[in-house]
Amino acid sequence: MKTGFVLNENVRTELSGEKIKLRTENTSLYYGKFRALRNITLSIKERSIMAIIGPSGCGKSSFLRIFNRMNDLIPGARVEGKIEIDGNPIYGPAVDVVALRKKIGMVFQKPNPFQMSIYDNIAFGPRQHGIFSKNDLDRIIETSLQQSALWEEVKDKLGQPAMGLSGGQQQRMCIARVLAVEPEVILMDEPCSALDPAATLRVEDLMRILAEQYTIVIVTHNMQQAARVSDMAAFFMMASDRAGELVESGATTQIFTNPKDKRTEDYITGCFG
Amino acid sequence: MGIRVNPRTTQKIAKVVIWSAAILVLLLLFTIIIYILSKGIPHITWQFLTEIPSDMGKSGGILSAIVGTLAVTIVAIVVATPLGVGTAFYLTEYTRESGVTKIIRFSAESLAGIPSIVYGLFGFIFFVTYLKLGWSILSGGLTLAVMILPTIIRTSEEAIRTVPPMYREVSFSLGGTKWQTMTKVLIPSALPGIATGIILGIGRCVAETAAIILTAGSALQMPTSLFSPARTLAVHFYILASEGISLENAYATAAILIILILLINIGANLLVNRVVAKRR
Repeated sequence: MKTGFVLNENVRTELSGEKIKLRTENTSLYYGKFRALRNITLSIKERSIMAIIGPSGCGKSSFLRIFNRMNDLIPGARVEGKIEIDGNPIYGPAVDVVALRKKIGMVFQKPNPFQMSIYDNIAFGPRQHGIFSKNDLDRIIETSLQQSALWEEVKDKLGQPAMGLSGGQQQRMCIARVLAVEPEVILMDEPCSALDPAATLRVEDLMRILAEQYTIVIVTHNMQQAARVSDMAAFFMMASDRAGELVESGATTQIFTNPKDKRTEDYITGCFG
Repeated sequence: MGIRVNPRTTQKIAKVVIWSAAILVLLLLFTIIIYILSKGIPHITWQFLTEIPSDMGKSGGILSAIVGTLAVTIVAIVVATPLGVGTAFYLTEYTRESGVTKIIRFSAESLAGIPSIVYGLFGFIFFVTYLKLGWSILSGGLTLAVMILPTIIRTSEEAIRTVPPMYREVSFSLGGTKWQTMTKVLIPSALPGIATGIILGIGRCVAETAAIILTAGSALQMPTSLFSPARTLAVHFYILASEGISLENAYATAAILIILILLINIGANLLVNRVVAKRR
């Protein structure tokens, strides 16, 4: 099959030997009586980028939010099936949700800095986890900003309001804010949908760098983006009863050049969606 | 068929009507304030501010009434703020819409509409008589606290609801607990709104007469503890004027009352602005 996608050359197609970081098995999600996701079985490898793609309303974001239990905040939301990080359950009475969310950070669709200084925004997470010493915070903030490739741009104005940054800078600051709590996994919910193309490319470059240290799961509407950044991809679609289902998953190169399922091929080539 | 009016003409008429309404209201407010201040300020002397009333208020000062006003208001705010803000947080963050929240909200709204004399009567029966607190600053303050509670609950709830939901999500996603989210994100963001409720409450406390006479009494001497009876400025003014004791001193008291409310509002605004500015 011939598609016009630019695939990332650095993408690792051979991931078979690597450790599985996140895993779901027969996972379903309900909002009250409505079933939003049905029997999703998916493994996400450590230090890789998994792209979740599919048309609107197929439950991509809901799936992402299963891992850091953000769905807990929605009245009537309930999950079934196995959901694990490093082989340990994410749901259950013994799970410490606070510790879990510290391990699994999240970047949201719209850049959402608090109305505080850049410094205080990034220090927010560490302070919640009991780090108050000025030296420690300074060090964490510098490292996080350097990792998110923002340090050079903001190092002289850390005390200024974060709202004064451009959209792309705000989103990289939000990534720094996540990195500051030293997570292992970063969930990204359409992180570039509110950014201009140049800012989008910067965030994508950043994601490739971060993938050497972190496990990244990204939900995206942008097929080109999924092709450019991800190692693995999973294609979701809405079934006739409106529940989201996993159609197919695999190495990004395979999904984009040689999809096994007809529906994936139709979506990728732009027949619907 | 109606008469066709040029939209530009309608616009001109609307402009005139809206401006006149605003000017009329401003004029009315300033007339009242200037009238009272001009009648009252000439009678304000150092002595008036630093002495307690003598001869039923015909001579002497109003120091005990100033102290009484501040004491009763402080008791009311100290009691009502945590209760009101706590209830608002319960309603918005700790529970989901249910029969219980509806009952709480309905009760609060009903309470807000009750005339203050009814609170006075309740305070008299419950705090003064049943709890044997007597006519005192404590009884008065507690009664006022009950009275301003609905206002504080309502304004705090509105303020908390206007905090973008995304802030909660970010705080939780960074591993924050509910308490941390509340104290570090929600309260600072909602603070200006919460402060508005408290300032409105202070205004009502300072202006109240009926409920105070029934629960704190109208003693002229200087209060010495929370259990002392006391007279507030509004009560003092009311008695001076209604019993024809001294109209000059009544106006002077009213002027002080207005100045006090102004100072409290300005002070509270400065405080809130400083806290908000510090966070940006």
